[in-house]
Amino acid sequence: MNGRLIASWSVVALCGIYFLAPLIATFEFSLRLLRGHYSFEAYRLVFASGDFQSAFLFSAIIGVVTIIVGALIVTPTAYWVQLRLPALRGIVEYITLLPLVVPAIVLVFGYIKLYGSNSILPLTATPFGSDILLMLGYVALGLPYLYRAIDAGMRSIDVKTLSEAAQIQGAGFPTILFRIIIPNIRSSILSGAFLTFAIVIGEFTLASLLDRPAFGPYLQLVGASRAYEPAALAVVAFLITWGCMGIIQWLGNSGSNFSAKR
Amino acid sequence: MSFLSASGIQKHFGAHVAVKRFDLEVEKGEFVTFLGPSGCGKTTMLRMIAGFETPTRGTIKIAGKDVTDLPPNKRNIGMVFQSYALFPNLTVAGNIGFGLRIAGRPPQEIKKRVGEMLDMVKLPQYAERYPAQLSGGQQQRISLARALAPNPQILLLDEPLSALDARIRASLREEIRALQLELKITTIFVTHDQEEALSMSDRVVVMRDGEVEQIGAPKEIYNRPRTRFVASFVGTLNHLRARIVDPARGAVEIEGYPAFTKSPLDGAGVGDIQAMALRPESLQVTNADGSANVFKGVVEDAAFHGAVVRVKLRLKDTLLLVDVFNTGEGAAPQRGQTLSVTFRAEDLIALQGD
Repeated sequence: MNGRLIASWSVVALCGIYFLAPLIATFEFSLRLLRGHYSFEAYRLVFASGDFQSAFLFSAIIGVVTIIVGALIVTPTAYWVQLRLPALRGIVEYITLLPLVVPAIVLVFGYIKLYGSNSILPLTATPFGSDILLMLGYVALGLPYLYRAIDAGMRSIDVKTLSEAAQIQGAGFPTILFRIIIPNIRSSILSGAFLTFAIVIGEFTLASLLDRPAFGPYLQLVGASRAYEPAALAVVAFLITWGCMGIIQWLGNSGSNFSAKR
Repeated sequence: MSFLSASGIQKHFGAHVAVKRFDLEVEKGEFVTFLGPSGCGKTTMLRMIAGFETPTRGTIKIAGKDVTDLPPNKRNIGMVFQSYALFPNLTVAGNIGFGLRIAGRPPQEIKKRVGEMLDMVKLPQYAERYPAQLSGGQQQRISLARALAPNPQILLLDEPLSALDARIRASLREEIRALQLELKITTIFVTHDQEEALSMSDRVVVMRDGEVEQIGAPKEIYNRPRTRFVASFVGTLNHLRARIVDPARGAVEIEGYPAFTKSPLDGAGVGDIQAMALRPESLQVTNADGSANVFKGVVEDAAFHGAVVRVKLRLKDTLLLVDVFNTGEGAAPQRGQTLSVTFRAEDLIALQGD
């Protein structure tokens, strides 16, 4: 028994070292900007940089818009699949999984080909058009996570009976969706939203090839020209991702339902 | 003219026929129960009245208006669901006032009406609680209040008591009936529990395999079941095979014993075999022997049920259930004892069909 326990803990420790050692080393390196002693100078420089602020702000705005558009597409879809079209569940799930098997590079070349300046809908011809294309690309990339989170939320409540109870009280489809269904799967939507946000913040391929000033390409640019700031940025990016994961975890534990502990 | 009318209703789900034919006229203020086993079409019929399903054939009218193709949110119907279906994100007050807010009523009116409804279901102090903080019985009361708050023209109850424990079920059953009588609201109740159906309803519609077997007052359904199915579904019953002796006089022979029905057995011929039924409580222990409407047998079992002792009396080929009232006097029938039982001619029921 003791031997087994030691073996189990050894595996956990090895995995921990594998994941944590590079992070710790990166963090340690990020503190060495000033010779002879540790400091947060690299972080100060990063946060003080106008490029960092604008890139992060750009990605954050795109992330929020991506979440709103994604939720507006996915929530009614998952609702109708759950309520009226359960036979289509397999097809819809397959479609939502496609972004996992189609690489982002393929997706973006497709976009450029379809929406290039010579096409019928030349979205890439203007910065705003490219932003829209980037956002729609992120909606596609976030689809597997957003759909699964929302679908799981739909399955956790009795969508059919709640919809019928609202309908018999006089409610139409928008009222049912926005006043009954969405508030009851709020934590699931937020889980999907934070996952999507984490993806958008660090994404490089779409933003780079569409030539948008996002956080991913900024990370790459800084990494190619500086020594300590990229390490600080990597740590910051990790903290953002972990923050999102932590919020998802917290939502999952505390806010999933209107439970008796209120 | 009836208040709710369903005529020639059929409902097909692909190849499956859920309702074969259904015709019903319900008067204003009447409490009608759809009773039957699982899959008999009672819930499908209720859902068609609610508007959640559209009949394949036939028409549904409410207050003279054809609502067959009207969506549920345009029918002004209140419904209580088996699973309560309270909105978890809204408080009790929010749930009760939901329909009124949808109807665009002023906040003051909503608040007043919510208060009235809470008083009506005797839960005035629960307005700010969430459904998850209530017991099953309380949730169902709130569900009833929510259904009634917008003053619906019809109240539909879809097995509202089946998720509750026996004690709460009994008290809520009485409360629902009392409320219905007070509000005089036309009510359709769906259940598979015959006790609920008999104790609450003005009329009972017994359904089987998508068809109506019998419609009648509870007493009529219980005492005069038309078919073997109705007889066996409502209450406990002894099924008997009777040989017709004299149809004009209602004379038959059951297990070699002479017996009489109250009415002539129209359409039956001498020597025909007729399905008959007797309720266990309509049999009484007697000392009489050899006269009509008396069976003699051996006690196989006697089980004490409190108010009654249920005796299993073996005739030749039939095991007869007899409920002997526990008066506290005299010895209860014992196993192996020979016992004679008698019954009134009007209690011997001739059954139609299967």
